[in-house]
Amino acid sequence: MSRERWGSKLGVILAVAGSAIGLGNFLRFPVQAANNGGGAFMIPYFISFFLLGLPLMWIEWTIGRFGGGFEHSTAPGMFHTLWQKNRFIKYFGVIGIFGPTVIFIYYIYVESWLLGYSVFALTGKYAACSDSVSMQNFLQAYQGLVHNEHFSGIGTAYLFFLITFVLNILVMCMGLSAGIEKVCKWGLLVLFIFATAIVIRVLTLGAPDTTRPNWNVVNGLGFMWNPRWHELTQAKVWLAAAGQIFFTLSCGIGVILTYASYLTRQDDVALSGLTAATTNEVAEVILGGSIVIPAAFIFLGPIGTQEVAKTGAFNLGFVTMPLVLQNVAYGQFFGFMWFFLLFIAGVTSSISLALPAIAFLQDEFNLDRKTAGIIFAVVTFNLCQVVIFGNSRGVLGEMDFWGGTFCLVLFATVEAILFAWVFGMDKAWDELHTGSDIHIPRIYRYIIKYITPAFLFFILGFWFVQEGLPTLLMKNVPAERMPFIIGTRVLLIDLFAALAFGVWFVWRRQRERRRSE
Amino acid sequence: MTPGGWIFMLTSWAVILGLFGYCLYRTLGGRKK
Repeated sequence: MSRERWGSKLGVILAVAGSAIGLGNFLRFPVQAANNGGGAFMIPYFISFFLLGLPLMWIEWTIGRFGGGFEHSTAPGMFHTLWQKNRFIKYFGVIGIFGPTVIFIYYIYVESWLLGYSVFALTGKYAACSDSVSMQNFLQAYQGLVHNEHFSGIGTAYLFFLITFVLNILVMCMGLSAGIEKVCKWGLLVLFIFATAIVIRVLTLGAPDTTRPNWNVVNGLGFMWNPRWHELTQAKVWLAAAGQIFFTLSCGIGVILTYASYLTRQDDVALSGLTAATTNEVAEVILGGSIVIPAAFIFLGPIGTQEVAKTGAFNLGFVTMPLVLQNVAYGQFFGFMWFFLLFIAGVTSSISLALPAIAFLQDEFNLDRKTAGIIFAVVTFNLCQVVIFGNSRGVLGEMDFWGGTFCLVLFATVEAILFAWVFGMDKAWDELHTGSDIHIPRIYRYIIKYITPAFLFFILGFWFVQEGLPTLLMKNVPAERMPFIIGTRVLLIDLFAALAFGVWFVWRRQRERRRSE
Repeated sequence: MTPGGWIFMLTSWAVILGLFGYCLYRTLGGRKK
């Protein structure tokens, strides 16, 4: 079976950028900046971008292309080729399939809410909600958490989940170039057009309430960008900036490894990695930073915006933004654009999350794309039910913690050490520059070898003490949720064990085949 | 918005757009080093 390839250089860049551009760019970043020093947040943010984000991007692109040369599209095979003497490193690589699959299981459900809200915005289904309490009730009824005049059960949410799920699987089954590449190219184009239209709309709102002239767009931007220097002395601001860079670039998940594995050895990775990262930054800082906070400020004022920002990014997206957009001219249409752009951001991310598991089945079990896609669909569809019906019991949050936080930081640390210290910096630097269209400044040799791993250990340590240990010990979990949290953990351990068994089985089969030859 | 706010916003935009423009120029132009 011949190996799939990308149709164009721009195609793989947009696919990686599409994987990175997600809900976090438009919701998480502005909230993090506004809550952590305002404009001063950008100092640790840019430092993290250059010392952590970019090096990790280059590491993953390079390992991915290197592994692809040995017909491996996923981390177990790639880690094994980097460190052939070690029998166990391939099991660390399992995180690179497990993590994205777990994220896919809950992310696709949240993504389906965005499709539902896009339709509701156009049809005016939530138009009667005029304050945050009624909008919150609308969201909870949609999720099936309460029954009220808006929804009598989870049926509507389930229908949108089915549509979203089938759509994702269809794109995956269409293949790399005809499916993923095409969706990302057109999807990102629509996303940027919609986001730019909303930014222009928000920035031209002025001060719609004439009785409150201070609630205007310039002060809204000021709410987000005015620097609060004293906050830079707090460790939490630096951790928040590093965390934001880490999550926004989709590093440590394993998807960039898989995307890059379909490149040929002559293809550039240095410029492509940089281009994908900066495309993500345009969407995050310029577009994402100019929508939710200024819009919320104009209609809620400084105190209201502060309260909303404290309740988190999720509330801002699903409760505040639809309320705000209802107050502007053509609000229904802008509401649709807002939710649909987030839906596209979700689709381009979720298809990348599905790929590592499908690629693993294709490469290591010699299955064709369609069969691998169907197996993946059957397994994840069943696991999605746990998220959908256990949402009120903390299942989604638990999966997000293990798949979307713990695995990311651990996996990135392992691959950075493996790349710079085990594979060796001389070989790694040569590999990074093979076929390269740019020459990376030499200082990055030292940054990749010393600073990035140290930075990752620092984040891992701080994160473990601050969040990891309390979550592991279920410190803040109410007693009635305990069985569901423990059940989710057992399920995740089973999934990891099944993948690890798959790796063991494949390597044993290969060994036996070599012996018999 | 304070002058500091303007400086941070515009400088951040300039850094990102500068990098993005350079990347697009090199990627779409296909120029080798």
